[in-house]
Amino acid sequence: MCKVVLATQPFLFFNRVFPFSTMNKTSLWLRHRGLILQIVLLSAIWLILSGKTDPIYIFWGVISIAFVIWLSGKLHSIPLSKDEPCGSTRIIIPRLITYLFWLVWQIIKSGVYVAYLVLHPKMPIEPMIVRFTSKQPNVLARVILGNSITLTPGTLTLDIDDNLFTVHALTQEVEEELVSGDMEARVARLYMRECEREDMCCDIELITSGRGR
Amino acid sequence: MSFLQDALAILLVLGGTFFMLVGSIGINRLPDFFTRAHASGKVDTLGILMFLSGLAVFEGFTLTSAKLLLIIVFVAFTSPVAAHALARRALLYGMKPWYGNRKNEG
Repeated sequence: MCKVVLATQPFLFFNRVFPFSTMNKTSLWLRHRGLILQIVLLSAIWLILSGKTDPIYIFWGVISIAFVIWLSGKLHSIPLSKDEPCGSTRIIIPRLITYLFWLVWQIIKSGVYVAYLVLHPKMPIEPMIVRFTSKQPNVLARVILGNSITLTPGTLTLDIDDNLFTVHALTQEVEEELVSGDMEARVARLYMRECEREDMCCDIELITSGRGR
Repeated sequence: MSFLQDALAILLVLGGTFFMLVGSIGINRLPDFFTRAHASGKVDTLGILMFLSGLAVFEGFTLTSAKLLLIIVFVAFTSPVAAHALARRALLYGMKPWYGNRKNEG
């Protein structure tokens, strides 16, 4: 009887006995991707900061990494906002890498742009507050978008309330660039396969004088 | 090769110093809190990033430059968060932004 079961389901049996075998590798990677990446990154940081490969340093490193992973595992169960756990959707890694390169370019552009505004004799700024809603797939995407808005030229995130973003913009040009929805779509594409640029930025409200508030 | 490396390092450090100087000038010149947060949050970030990457280029491929790269990554992530935290507190506290002298105001 047992032999028949083994013959018909050798695959399942094999997986049950050796859960970390090569057959299971793809699903193991998919299920624990965050954990594996975390271990690799933390080990790299530990090795760079200590710079020594003596057994005692490695030993303390392993203990510290295990402690950090235990702590952050507890953090994952705390919802960032109302009944929405953090990191429920998985990020697309190749897009994250291209996004980081784009972000570095934006940092350079924004520094040069604000430096130009500061050094210009007449200082051609017309500050305004822009409010818009952007439907991002999850909490982490909203955090990334808020951080990126601050890094892109002439804009500074003031507040994020659910889907409502309050942004301080230095000039008219950067405000137009912001509400075009380009960056919002870039951030949303980190998590979703497809999204339309027009959907990402709606209900735009400009506040250009003190009476509007 | 060494000459090129030194030249690049000097250029980056000088550029970083320039941007940090401009950031300080901006904090003095700009009219209100929020625009000043722009100057400190962006121009200074770029200045520090350029300065540190210049030092990393000067070091070459060593452990020190790896540590410098780590600092660069952390600065790039935390500096906008600090600017955002300050600006958000100011807005919630009720600080009114400066809107300039516009002609076509209703």
